[in-house]
Amino acid sequence: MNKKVLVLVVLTAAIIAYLTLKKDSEPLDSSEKSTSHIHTNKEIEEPKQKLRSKEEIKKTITENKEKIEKIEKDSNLPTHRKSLAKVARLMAAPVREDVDHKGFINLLKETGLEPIVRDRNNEDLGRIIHIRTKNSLPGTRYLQARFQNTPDGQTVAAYLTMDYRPGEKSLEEAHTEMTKWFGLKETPDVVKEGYRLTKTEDCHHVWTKEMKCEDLNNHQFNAYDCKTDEGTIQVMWEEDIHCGMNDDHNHDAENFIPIPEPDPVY
Amino acid sequence: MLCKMKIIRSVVSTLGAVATISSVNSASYIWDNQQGLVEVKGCKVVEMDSNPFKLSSYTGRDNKSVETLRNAAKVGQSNLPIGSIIRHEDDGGRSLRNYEYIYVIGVNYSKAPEYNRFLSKRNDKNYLFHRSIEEMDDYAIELTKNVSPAWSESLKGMTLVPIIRPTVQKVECDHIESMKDRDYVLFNGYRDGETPLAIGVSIAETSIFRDIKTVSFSSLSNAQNVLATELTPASSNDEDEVEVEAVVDQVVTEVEDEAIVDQVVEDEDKEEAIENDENVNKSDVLVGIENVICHPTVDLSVRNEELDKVMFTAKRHEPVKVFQSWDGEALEKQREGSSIVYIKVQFSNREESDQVIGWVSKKYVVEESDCPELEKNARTHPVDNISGLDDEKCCDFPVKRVPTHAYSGPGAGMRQFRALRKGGRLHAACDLYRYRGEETRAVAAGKVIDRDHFYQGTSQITLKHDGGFVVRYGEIINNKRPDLNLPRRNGYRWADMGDKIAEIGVVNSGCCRPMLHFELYQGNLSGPLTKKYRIMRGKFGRRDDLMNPTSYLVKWQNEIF
Repeated sequence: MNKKVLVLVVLTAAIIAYLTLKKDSEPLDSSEKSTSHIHTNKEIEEPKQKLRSKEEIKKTITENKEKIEKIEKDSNLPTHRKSLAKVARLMAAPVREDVDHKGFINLLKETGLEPIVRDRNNEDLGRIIHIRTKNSLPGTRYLQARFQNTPDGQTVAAYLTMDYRPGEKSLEEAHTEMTKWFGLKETPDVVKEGYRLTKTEDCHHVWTKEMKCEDLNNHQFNAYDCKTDEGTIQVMWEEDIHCGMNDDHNHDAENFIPIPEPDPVY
Repeated sequence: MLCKMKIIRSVVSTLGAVATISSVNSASYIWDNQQGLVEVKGCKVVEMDSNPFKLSSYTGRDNKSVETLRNAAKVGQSNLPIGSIIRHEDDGGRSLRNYEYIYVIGVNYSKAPEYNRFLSKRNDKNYLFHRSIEEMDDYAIELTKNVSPAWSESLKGMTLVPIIRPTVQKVECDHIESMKDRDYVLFNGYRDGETPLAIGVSIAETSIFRDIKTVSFSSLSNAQNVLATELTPASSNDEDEVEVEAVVDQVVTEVEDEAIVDQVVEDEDKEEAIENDENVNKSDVLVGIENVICHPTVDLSVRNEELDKVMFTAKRHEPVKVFQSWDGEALEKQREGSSIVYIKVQFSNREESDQVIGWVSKKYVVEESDCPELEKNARTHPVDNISGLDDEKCCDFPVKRVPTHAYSGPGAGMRQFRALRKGGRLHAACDLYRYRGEETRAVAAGKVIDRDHFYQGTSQITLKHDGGFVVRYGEIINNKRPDLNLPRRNGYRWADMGDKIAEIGVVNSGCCRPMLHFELYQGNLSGPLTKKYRIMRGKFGRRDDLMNPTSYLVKWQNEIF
């Protein structure tokens, strides 16, 4: 009995010590203290993602090269499908093959693409490297990536995106290729008409969307003509800012009733 | 009295309009957002069913000087001063009973008590009570402030009066490519001591009405002068005048066709000359990420698909997007007999939706930061600087009104800072729920240090504010770019406290309400705001100077609302 109590006390002390240390290690300013009402109502989950070893990454690189060679030789595969596979591999390379911006640029060149690189050092945000291409692979276009620096001087991808040509099966084709090259789980987390989103274990996701005219007109970088480009498939890998928001954050999404507000006054 | 005034106005305008027709061949203009007043010849003046330019008024028992603009949920969004110029806008079939969806062309600030955050702005789109919309026939529009620096002198202080005979008149110039399929409502432009101008304004290009004061025609201080001016050149016989006009129009149209050809050749000569100018950098121009038209001397011609016609022009520094083709080939071509290489571009930030896509000389499409002339537009800054977050003048609230859902305290749920995310990551922002398309305001003066993709089809804009703190405003609409109207200095765009810098967006999975994702940083560190942790357990996944914005937001909110 005493032993059980002792174990319980030790465990409790360890948990308290851990939580205290964790909070102290977070570099927030004094304003944090004024917000004692913030609650977290869930236990912290153990991360499921495991770091991939150098050997695993090396193996992926070798396998990917072989796959691309095989696709290139496949005479039954239409040109646009070959392009899709190649660009999907390029997009996944910073994630699966651990390439930095230089490696990414080299891969673009190897694939026959001519990179446009805007490499700027921002005194506040550090190094920001945007990469686009001057040309495209048939059936694809607007490949774009943003890389940023890490404290150890490396560069990592912030987001990667591309467009795939409109077509009846284009959404599924794009989604399938992304699932394959990014190593995503088979079942997407969000399935809507013209939209697929699959989350990764490290709070990123890949979404694939069939663009309507409104979407086309709402793009920051790419030029579109609604007459010819509606149905374009856009694909993006990016950080999941709202990672984990599938319960209490979203309960009001579908049946939202706005709070009555008085008219604005001056 | 009003009825009598209308009759007098109608008679006067009839005579006035005839006079205008007779003079249309010598000095008539149309308004172009890029070029200002453009002289046109050989155009026809014909009657219109109704004037598409309308004015706002107020319906209610009180005699208020503003009317409320509402969103689709009938929630008040802003105050529109009466006498503001508006037009109907397509709301995509979401009709609201007793309300009209309108686009605000010009705000009549003379009717607003003083500037405040709830006043409507030009380009706002919302619902207005249908009885609060009236015709502008009995009103005159004074152009009060600078229409644009380039044209301010020629237009400032001018009064525009719509011509009605007995209905509104329009100018048709179908022989001019850029004016095809458009109706230009005809106004008489008056300024003391000057010959009146006939000015056509299309509802597709309306920046001439950017800053206005609306006055009733009868209360015009120089109304007598206006009447006299209109009456002076009038003919005694309307029918004779119209006949003469028709003949003259035909002749001038033929001449005009030749003149247009000459003009096009002249434009090309200029472009060729610039191409061959040794002072121009001849290195291969690589189109960048965010591009602008950067043409050293004249406005750039924008051509049709065949490159044989100039459809419209682009002004220097105008933002532009470059097309890529689906076939893998660069989307470039040359016109026969010309060395100029053209590329296909989209002008997506224009008001004129029918002049958006065309072909321009590749040489003059460059990365925005490579076009230094932009910085000449800079204004002196900062104007309302603060020392930091604890300065008593700090700060504005980043959304127009109180968020619809709590972002702190009980019930704030996942919207609050430090809320737990999957994998143990903590929420690094406060999510301020509001309505799609509502403005996002700069909380303080500062410079834009980043604008890029953010999350699920939305963007972010990051500002370093006076006092050094940094705010990342996330989940904003990608292509609504009020930031492009901010002045530039030293390579950055600069905002004042309260400036509109973006519009609230909504993510494309449909998971969440429209919101502003508000992240705050001390700004004493350098580096990316988002850290790419492999495992983010118990972390924010953000730069180490991340701050909890809750208490500041609550303070600003309580001070303002």
